[in-house]
Amino acid sequence: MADLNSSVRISGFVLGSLMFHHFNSDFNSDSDVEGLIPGESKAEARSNITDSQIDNIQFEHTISGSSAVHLNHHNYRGGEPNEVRHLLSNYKEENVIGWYKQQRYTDQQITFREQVIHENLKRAVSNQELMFLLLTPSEVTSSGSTHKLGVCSLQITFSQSCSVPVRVSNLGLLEQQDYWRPSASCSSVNYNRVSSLRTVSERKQEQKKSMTNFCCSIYQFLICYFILLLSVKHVLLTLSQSQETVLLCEAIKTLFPGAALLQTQALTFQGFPVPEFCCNTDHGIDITTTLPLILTHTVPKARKGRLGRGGGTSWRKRPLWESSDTPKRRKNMLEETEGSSLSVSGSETEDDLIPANQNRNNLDMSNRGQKCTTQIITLHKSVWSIGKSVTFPSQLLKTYI
Amino acid sequence: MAVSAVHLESDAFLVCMNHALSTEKEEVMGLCIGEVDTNRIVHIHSVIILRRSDKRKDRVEISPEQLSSAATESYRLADMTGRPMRVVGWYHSHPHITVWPSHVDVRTQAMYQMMDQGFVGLIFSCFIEDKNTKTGRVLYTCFQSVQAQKGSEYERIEIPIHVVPHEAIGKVCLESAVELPRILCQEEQDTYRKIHSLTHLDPITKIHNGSVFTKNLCSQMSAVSGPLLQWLEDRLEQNRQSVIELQLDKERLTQELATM
Repeated sequence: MADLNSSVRISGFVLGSLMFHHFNSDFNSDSDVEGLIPGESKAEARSNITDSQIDNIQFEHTISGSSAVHLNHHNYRGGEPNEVRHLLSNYKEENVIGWYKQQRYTDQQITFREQVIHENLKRAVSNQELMFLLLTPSEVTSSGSTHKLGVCSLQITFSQSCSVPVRVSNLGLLEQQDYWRPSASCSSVNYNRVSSLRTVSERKQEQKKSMTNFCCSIYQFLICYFILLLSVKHVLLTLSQSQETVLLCEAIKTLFPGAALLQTQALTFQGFPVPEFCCNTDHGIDITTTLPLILTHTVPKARKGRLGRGGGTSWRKRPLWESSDTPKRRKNMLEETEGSSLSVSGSETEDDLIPANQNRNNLDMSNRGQKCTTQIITLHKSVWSIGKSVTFPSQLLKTYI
Repeated sequence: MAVSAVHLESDAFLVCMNHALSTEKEEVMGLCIGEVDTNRIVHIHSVIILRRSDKRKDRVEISPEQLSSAATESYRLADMTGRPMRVVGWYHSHPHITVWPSHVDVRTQAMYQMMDQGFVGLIFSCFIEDKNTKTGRVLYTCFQSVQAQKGSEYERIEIPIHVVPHEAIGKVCLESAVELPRILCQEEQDTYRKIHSLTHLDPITKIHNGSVFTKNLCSQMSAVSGPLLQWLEDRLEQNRQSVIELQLDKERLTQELATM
């Protein structure tokens, strides 16, 4: 034995919006409101086998409307096939499960016009189970204090219509459960102890706590890791820069072999290079292979550089460990010691030039000496800070891990 | 003296209807915000959905704190609209019950009228089904209370109600409409906290109540939040389509005008 139960389901928001459209329709002409209902159709068969009945199959057919598309009455006249196709152009055919109409002050009966429209729509969307929702607002009392909206769903087949119940989806249909207030009355000692459950819940709490701690430690480790990464990058950068400095040192030694002034950053009070601070280390770099282009232009350009400069130090590159506030002082010192003599063309080396300038510079030599001392101190500090940065990560690791 | 009529804006009506249709198990309630003009016509511009402290299928209660909060909200609306807004009425639902107010409703209305003679009451009757014709019905009514001629009881008087068309859903009403999921969630949280604070409950009961709380929240999302979102998204899409159609109409008319 098979039972067929069909129903139409729409949400309260859809029904409310239908009523809203009805009120906002052309108030003066008192016209009716029509529209499409997109949604989905589901069919389910349930079979119950009991002692009294072997075959008890229930077919549940549910048509769910998810929204309502209001049609502009001025553009829509009577459901001609072309008109219907135009209306359906914005919607997928399979999504349209029905159409609705709100007509004032009438009974819940379908008219001939609505039958024609229904048949045209059924052909257009190829849905024989197309649903027609009829809404009939009316006044209950003559004073206008009470109003009613009738909602009825019809399935029309061969000029005959049958009503299908309409259900409004709401919270009440989902059977919300109640909370338990009193404890279950069980006198069992073990039940009331519920030690295993308590242990489970306590264990869960502890696990949660340990997970939280673990997450915190991972987070701290990640922070340390990123700090370490940054410091390693800084060290690598320093090393690369020092490598560049080594390259520069070798290049200068190759280009200007006897120029001690160019191979040190420390000067005496008299402005002479300090031999102890001259770089005598053989860095093991072959300039001919590393910087071949320098040697091809070495002799004439080097002379030009020395003769042509009016104190500019464009060819001179300061090592990284010089402090940032010394460049101008260095530049000025270089200008004062070598500037005037360099303006004269000749084949003198720098060693020849230095004694010539010595007397001229005696007056502010003490100031310059102080500046040199400051530079030496600054240089030592820079080296110390680099050395400190190299050992920083291991110290950090000891602190945090 | 009773009011002469009630004019309810259609977007406020929409919020009331959505709220009333949200559940068929309990009554829901809210307050109406608006103004009363010199002709004793009450104009309702928006509504406030209220939280229920005790969910019942046959009665609702509004606390003084809720009235005070609603009054504050009405002042905010007054500032926004530049009109003298105040709390002018209350509404509640009658799921599976006749639309006529009960004696409790009439007495409650009379109590409110003692504070404000222009206070009105609306009732929305939903989920009424005629099993013979398989048709559903939704009814709404407006009433006030008056002292009965005989005895000390009160009786209801009918107040004509007209739903006034509104071009679109106003911002205030839209904000009220989307408050519903939040209020339902708060109600559930309050109930769960009260239960959870009981000390005599055994662990099994506590586990059960925790599961019930989760299930009820999921039901709210499925039955209310989901359809509400769907409705808003569809409405947005329809509005976009309308804009496109209107732009095409405008271009066509402009071209026709140019050829003339």
